[in-house]
Amino acid sequence: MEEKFDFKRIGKRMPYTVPKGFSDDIEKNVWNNVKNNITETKTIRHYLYWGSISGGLLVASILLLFIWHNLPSYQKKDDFKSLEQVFLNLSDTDQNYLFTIYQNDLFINE
Amino acid sequence: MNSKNVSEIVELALKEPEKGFRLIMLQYKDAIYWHIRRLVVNHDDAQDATQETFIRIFRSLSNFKGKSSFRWWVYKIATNEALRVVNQYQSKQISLDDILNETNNITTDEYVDYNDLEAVKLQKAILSLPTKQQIVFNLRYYDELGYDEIANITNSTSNSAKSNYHIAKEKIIKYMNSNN
Repeated sequence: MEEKFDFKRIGKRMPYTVPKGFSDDIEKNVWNNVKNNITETKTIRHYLYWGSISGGLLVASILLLFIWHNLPSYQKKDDFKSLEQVFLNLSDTDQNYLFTIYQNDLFINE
Repeated sequence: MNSKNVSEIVELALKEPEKGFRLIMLQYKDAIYWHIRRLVVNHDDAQDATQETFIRIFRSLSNFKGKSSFRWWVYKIATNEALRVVNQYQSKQISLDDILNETNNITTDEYVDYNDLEAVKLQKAILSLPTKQQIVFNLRYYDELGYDEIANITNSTSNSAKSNYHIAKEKIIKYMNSNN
């Protein structure tokens, strides 16, 4: 009487065999196929990375220039010119009064 | 391999491609080859499909966001590649039974040990099942995958995978106990 089939008896045994070194062949063939794509991707990523940095620096520079250009001007004004302008803005009476003071001032006329 | 290790390997493969490539191949190459081989039988077809599987994996690795299990993603691609080969045979109207039985044409299946009668009969039993049951049975019996993973790979539910597995097992036992 034939023995009834039992999975435990056969386990994971299969009738399939393989040629020597096939596993290494698979790995080699796959790598040969994908390595060029990976290198291209790496190069593109490399350019993108440095391109982003350069772009960022350029934008930052433009922003800085823009801000610097629009800063309120704190240049040292010509004091004498501004003083002269203030004097000219005074009325004639005030101007004459100031002239009188300056002419009679002991310290200025010494 | 736990999910943390897998995500580390995937990250490594993106940063240092060759290193990551070697690790992924080390982890999955043999399992994927045998999964495909069990479906397509012929060694050369299995080797081609395995290579194609890993090429696809590495080309779309950056698209793998880690939301799903890396293992079932790999097996899913492998299963699709195997089915592509099987469909090619079916379109040529050659049955897998013919390929397994054809002892004259050693170029078709020179890598089969016909002396192991029980093992040959078991593979015939599995190959006589509907394709989905073959896949479910192989993934559960040989690869010891969980039903959830099998469900993801075969686009079904966990209960359906479980049901398919048990039905497949009963059919195989019946086939093996037959005098055929």
